[in-house]
Amino acid sequence: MDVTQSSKSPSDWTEIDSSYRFPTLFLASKAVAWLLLGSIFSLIASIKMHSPSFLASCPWVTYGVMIPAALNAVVYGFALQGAFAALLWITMRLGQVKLVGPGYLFIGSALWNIGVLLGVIGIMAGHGSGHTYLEMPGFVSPILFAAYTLIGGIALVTFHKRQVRELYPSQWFIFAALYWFPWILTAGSYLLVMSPVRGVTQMIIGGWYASGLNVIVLGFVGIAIIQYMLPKLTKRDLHNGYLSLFSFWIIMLFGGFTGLLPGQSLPSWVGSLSAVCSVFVAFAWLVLAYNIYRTIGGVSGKSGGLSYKFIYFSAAAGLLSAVLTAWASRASVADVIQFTLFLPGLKWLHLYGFVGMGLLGCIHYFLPKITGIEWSRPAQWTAIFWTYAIGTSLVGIAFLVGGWKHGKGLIDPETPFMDVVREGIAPFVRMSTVGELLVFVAAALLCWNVTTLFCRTYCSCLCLGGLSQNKAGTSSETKKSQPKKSSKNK
Amino acid sequence: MSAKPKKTVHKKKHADEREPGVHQEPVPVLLFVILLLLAFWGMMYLHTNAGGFNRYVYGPFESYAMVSDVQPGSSDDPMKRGADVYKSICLPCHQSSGLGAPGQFPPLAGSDWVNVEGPNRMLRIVINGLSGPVEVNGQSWSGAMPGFGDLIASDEDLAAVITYVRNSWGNEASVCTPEEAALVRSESADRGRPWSSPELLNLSVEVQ
Repeated sequence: MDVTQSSKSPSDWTEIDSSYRFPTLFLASKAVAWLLLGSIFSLIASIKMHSPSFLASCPWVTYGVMIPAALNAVVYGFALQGAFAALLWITMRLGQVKLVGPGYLFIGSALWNIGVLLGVIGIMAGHGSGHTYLEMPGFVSPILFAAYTLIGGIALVTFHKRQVRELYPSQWFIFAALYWFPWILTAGSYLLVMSPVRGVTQMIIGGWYASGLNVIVLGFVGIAIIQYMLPKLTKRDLHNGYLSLFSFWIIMLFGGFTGLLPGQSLPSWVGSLSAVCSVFVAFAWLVLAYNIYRTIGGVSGKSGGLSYKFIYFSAAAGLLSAVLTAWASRASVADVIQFTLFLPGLKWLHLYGFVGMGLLGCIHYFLPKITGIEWSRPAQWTAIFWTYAIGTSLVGIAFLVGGWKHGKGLIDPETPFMDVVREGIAPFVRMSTVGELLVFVAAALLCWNVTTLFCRTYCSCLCLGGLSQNKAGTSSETKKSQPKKSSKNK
Repeated sequence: MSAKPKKTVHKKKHADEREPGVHQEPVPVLLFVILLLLAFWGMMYLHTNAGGFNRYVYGPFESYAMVSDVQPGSSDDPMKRGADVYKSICLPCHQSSGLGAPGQFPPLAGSDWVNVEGPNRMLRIVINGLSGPVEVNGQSWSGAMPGFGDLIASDEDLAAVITYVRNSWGNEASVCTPEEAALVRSESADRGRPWSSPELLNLSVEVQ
């Protein structure tokens, strides 16, 4: 399509923006609310690691309940829902297209939230399935799937109707993620929760689902955000589209097989294959990082504003998590880190550092643009960035370094077990609680800011509606009054 | 080589909201060289760490040879092989002495069901089980033995355990061949319920 045809006048943009305003606001505000809830659960679990008597009498908040509840709230409530908002916005910006069927999108996102809520309550009531990332009770998956059919379907139809036909690399990633998610959700929940397969196959499917969800679905949305936002914020063009294509296919081909580390109770070839695949994914990430580096190299971070910091952090965390996953999948390393906090650390780095940070940067950037209302307290956003960044780093470092020391101590027969607990676990677990507390503070501030923006947008729309009605009223009155005046003059 | 950035028109109208464009340049050859080297490394890694893609190779073991070295193993000698099967399946009731338990499980040692010309009836009992009253060496027993046909899946193992019982504790009877075991197993494939003593006594002792 011709470039001139695809350009929009500002008034068109206002119309396009307004079609996304409430759907994305709804998704984003619910997403940050889930982040807040998830961070509370996570904080409770973290405190229980060093103070087991904390809330010990309540069966709804035991450690074994809080961990999956936090994970599912953050993955399905925050990360995926935030990803929907972000990818809709990127589809809109790059495709210059109005949202198709906002009503269906609203029903879909409401259903999604009901599904996640039922799932989290189900986990807390003790009906969790016990498969990581699929802990929600079996009846929730059809609800999530139905909700996704609406949300993803609308995203795909909107994508299809885009006015700018040529694709920016971020759109490939979004498109792939949109198709990948329903496939792994249905296959994973059918084979693990509804009609469980037997024996070691369960672990293989669980690992495949986890890596598909993290590396491909959430990872691709995160990469799409990085590849779109960093050039946009620095006003550059992406260094090389073919390098993105290269990374895209490598992660697409190998990303789904990276979740099964050696040392699990699986035939050796499964872990080894997974190790090789995660090295390929790390290579693709290095290529991505090179591409981004060539794109934004030499730009001072200040010109991109606060959003730039968010996305930059996200990119660094994504690269680090891909490289560390490849490193951790070597058999010699996996022997050390098994049964420690190292793997939760990697998960944390990926989910909170890479995906979460990218989504927050995106939300920070686009919500004011799409609503036309600036954040009322920009200083709070600076505070959100720093508390979230420091909190996430603290937890990540505590889990990764602590996990490594813990593992090293455990495999050394000379070290007494209690020494390992005292030196390898206890201080790091306390450190992670501080980090989780900071993340909680950031999430609370975030929730407050986004909800306030939601309310202000809603009020301003009501007022504008009222204003336009008033305007119509006054203009008709003036029309009526004018003849009177003229009659008086006569 | 670099293509000019796209959507420049948009840039003029919305300086603030400029969409990023893409340069299209050939991917450096070095990238594919690294990819090939990685593929080579990956294959070498799998060669040494994947245990030959064998489904029995787990954890610390590196190859199937290492795994099978530490297995109890099965022997080509039907008596040794039969003894292994006997230990894992028959021993809890019939005991290592083959004498069974008084009042509960009939003896195999010196039994007139065992020391006959052919293994036909024994095979059927092991495959489908035996229930109801039965007379062994003139003494009456009442009880039920479940079928073990599914548990002893290989015909070699089935033949070996029959041969073992027929030639231990003073028993002296013919060897049961895997072919006989396979034949009887296929004949009783549809039976699905235990035999009774009169039914078996109507059958010949030889496998036909």
